[in-house]
Amino acid sequence: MPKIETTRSLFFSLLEQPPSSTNELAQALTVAKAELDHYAEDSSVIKFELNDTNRPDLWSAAGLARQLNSYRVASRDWGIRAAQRYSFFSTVDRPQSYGERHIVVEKELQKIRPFIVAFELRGSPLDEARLAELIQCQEKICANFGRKRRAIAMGIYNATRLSYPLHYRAAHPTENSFIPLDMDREYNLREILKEHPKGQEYGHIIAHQARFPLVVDQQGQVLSMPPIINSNDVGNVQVGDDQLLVELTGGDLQLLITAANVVACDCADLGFEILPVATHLPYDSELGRQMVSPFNRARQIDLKLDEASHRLGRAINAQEAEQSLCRMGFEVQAVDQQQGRITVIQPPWRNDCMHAVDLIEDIMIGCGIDSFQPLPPTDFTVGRLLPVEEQGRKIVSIMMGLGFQEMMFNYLVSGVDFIEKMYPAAKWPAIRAEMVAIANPLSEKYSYLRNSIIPNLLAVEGASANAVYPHHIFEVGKVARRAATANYGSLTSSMLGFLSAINHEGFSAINERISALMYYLKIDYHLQRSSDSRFLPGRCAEIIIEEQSRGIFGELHPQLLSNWNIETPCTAAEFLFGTHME
Amino acid sequence: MKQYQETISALHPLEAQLLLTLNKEEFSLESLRTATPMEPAQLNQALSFLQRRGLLEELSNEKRLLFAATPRAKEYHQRGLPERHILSWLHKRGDTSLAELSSALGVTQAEVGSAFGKLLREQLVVRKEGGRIALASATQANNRENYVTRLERLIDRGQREEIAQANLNEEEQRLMLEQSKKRGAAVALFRRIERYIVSYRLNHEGLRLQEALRATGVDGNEIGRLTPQMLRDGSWREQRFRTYNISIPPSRVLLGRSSPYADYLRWVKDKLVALGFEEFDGPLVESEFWNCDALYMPQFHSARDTHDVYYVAEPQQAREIDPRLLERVAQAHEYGGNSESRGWCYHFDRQFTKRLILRSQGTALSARQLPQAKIPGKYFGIVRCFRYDQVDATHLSDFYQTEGIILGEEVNLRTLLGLLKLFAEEIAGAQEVRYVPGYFPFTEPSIEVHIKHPTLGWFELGGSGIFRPEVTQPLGVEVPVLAWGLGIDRMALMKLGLNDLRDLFAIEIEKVRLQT
Repeated sequence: MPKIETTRSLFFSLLEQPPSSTNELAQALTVAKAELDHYAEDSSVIKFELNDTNRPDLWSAAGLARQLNSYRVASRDWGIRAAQRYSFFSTVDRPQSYGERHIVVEKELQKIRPFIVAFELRGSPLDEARLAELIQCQEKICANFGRKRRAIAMGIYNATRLSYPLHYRAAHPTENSFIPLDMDREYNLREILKEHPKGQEYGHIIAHQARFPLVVDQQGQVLSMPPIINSNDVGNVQVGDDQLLVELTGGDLQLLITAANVVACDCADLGFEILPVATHLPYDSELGRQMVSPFNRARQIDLKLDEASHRLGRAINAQEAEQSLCRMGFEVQAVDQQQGRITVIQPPWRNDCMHAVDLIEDIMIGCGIDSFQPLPPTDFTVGRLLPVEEQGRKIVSIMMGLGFQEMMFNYLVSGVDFIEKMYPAAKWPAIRAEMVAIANPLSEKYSYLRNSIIPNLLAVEGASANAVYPHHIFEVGKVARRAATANYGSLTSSMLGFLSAINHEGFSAINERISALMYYLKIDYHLQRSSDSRFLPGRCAEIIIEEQSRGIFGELHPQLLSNWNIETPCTAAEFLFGTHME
Repeated sequence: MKQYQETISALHPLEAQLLLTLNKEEFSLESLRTATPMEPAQLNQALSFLQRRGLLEELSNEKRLLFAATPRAKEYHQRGLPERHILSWLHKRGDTSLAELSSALGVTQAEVGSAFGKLLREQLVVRKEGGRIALASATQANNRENYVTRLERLIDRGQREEIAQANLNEEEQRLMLEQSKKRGAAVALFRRIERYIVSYRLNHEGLRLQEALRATGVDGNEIGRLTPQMLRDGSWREQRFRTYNISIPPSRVLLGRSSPYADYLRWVKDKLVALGFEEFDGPLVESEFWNCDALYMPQFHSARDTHDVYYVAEPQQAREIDPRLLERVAQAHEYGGNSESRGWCYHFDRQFTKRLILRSQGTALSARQLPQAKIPGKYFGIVRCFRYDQVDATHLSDFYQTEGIILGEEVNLRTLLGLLKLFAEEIAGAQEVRYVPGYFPFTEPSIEVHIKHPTLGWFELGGSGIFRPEVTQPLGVEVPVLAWGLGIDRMALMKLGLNDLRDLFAIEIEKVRLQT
């Protein structure tokens, strides 16, 4: 979830009616699914946490303030004001004039990174606060919404030193070079991928291509190599700059347009004038071969009020729907009282309405959750536990009756504990092949799903030599084992494991406990001698139920105990019950 | 006398027995050995009990020398002293050599030599020219006999007791010092032992207690254990039973006990069953399909990166995902399918969806339940999930999630709020509930429920919502489905008095034993 930081003074200056208390602010933020993150009334910095990962328009002070403002106005008035403030949008029918500001795209980019959109900003010289806003906006959009620059990368440039048209080129990696941001000499494009920190971080997005994306101006001056790095010259924006170019590249035109619109509206809110820039494509896109940004798709959405009433659990009338959708930033185009239908236009900075339910949620937020009274569930249903849970509980109560302490363990385990300390080296490959291994473990300690409980129990014993003896411990839990015939290649099963660390006890004592367990579970079983190397030879038995081996027990081998630094003799058992899950 | 009652009740029978045998006179452990029929170990114990009670006055404490017979003395006690054999041989056969003596008597030369050396010092034998030996002509036969007899008597006595130096006459003492050694006593007949002998007397308190004890009639022969025999033959009627000391600290009893965390989870399960929910469960290994795709989380979602889920190494993919469901889910992602949605508008990867991972959210099992769910139906699971997080006090690599769904023709936002209220009251014991808009990729609307817990204060109890049509429609469900998840770990920690999630899976026995 994105977190953003801004100054209190900037944020409050963007609000039409600043809140009078922290509580009021926190309450107001809920309509944007935002939370205050460490904020004191007297601090100059405010941090927000944004929960909605599909609304990048909320990830900036300006965007958040825009949502809070529209919510407060709660009528078509706000839409009218917004249309005036954001009058720079082009639509399909009405493109804005872009003068000489245009970008020519090279054909080869279609298979590399096909789209680029841009616009210019003019205004009073940048101060620290607005520069910080711009940079944060860029970072959040590219990281979260832009899938770590894979889908969206954005660059900001000093526009006073650019000459149009700009060229979006597919450039040869070693035959082009420029001075990247924060470096002091020229590198060729391939070198930047290897040597610049951003090249190392994002290079994988384009490294496999024969040509790399490069933005240059009419004079051949390099602006940037998207999605990696700007040039250190025009791409190095400073406090005091008053004419800027914002450019975004990517492969998904819809995402790109939304991102560009979000940035443009934020900049307009920060006091910039927005000047459109055109893109000339040598191939087709859903918007044709020429598009002018920022671009308002003006997507029209119909909603049947019945549908909203049904999902929200109470009647929603047209007036309520209109008011609440205005609050959420929609432009209400038509209300058909008779048909019970409302038609809205999605604001250009939003593109999160995939289904009527998305509008219905906005109606809920617009009405306020408190306007919906909780109803107790009325459908009668029978509750029940799974049979394996019932069986597990029976086993827990028998084990407690036998004097055992119940334990609870993690299921992600280490190979050292579960393989190397448990078996002689010759057996490691075979045991590894029985376990579900993690391909991308975070650490060795959590690199396998456990296939057994005995090592967990031994870890307890190894860590508990100071606890009063004897130790009788058990766990009822899950294990996973490889199974060639299973759809997922493994099966999850329920297992009981128990261990006793006590002097002067041995096979006969644990044999008695197994016998008691089976007696109370009413399970017919017999024993079969086993040569499992984890146990002392000749003091280990498999539990056979209906011709199948369901468990094993015996005296643990001294080699095992010594591997775990245990100095008290131990007996242990494992027993599978219930059905396997796949 | 009343003040001695509790002390008398607490007296060990041995203490009582010993106390009753004592008089006003001085005594020591040694003197008591003959005066009481008690075993030495019992006597020791009883004496130390009395001393610890402060009933004895210590009179003196002096070092004494004692002599203990060695194994060699025991051997000679049985076989006869070499000295006696040497003297009688010399008496019968006249002079001889040590070697002849050794072979004739069947004794090692060293032993013969040692015995001869002692006889020589006593001037009972002489060494002649050429190494021959003979009886000393100057001594009388009865001198020889006296010497040997005295020695034999000491050996004999040494078989029964340690001999105190003080109990020997002058001649015996001389003999004993000659025949004993402090160290390396293997070749000597006696070992010298230095020991402190303490003598005591009952003090005033002791005498008073003794008097009180006599008055009660307790003699230390009272019955300890009631036996089945006594019950069978009725002999318990004639017995006096010992009174026991009730202030002895009892030793610790270890018991079989449940894990308090497991107990808590079982309690929550029971609550949910009581609210009409049926339990579900599933494999720990899950496919991307059920874990995320069926939940309409786009394949490019930021929580689906390599650094957010654990991938299974082998096999990497499920052999099959139900092709009918797979196609419908793919369509929902790509363009909405039949769900009246425009979808996520991207190319759905039909191989990636088969990728095997460790289940990262319990909602995966809610999705699995949908195609087979009854209507109306309520389902829940408390299941282990895995997160790609560094483990610390607030993050675990695997942990339990509590999740569930409700299907019904008439469920809606208000019934969802009602359900959350029920959870807040029944499971968290909360009086105040607050609902806040939330975000989950698979529900719309989405609601977070915050509660005012009696001790924890305001916190987020859970997330919930109504499944998006893009989730339910491809899985064949045409009615609305409420989905919910509860974060119960904070309440579990509070209940267990812990503040570190790792302690829920503690591996130190004592820690778990003491959790309540």
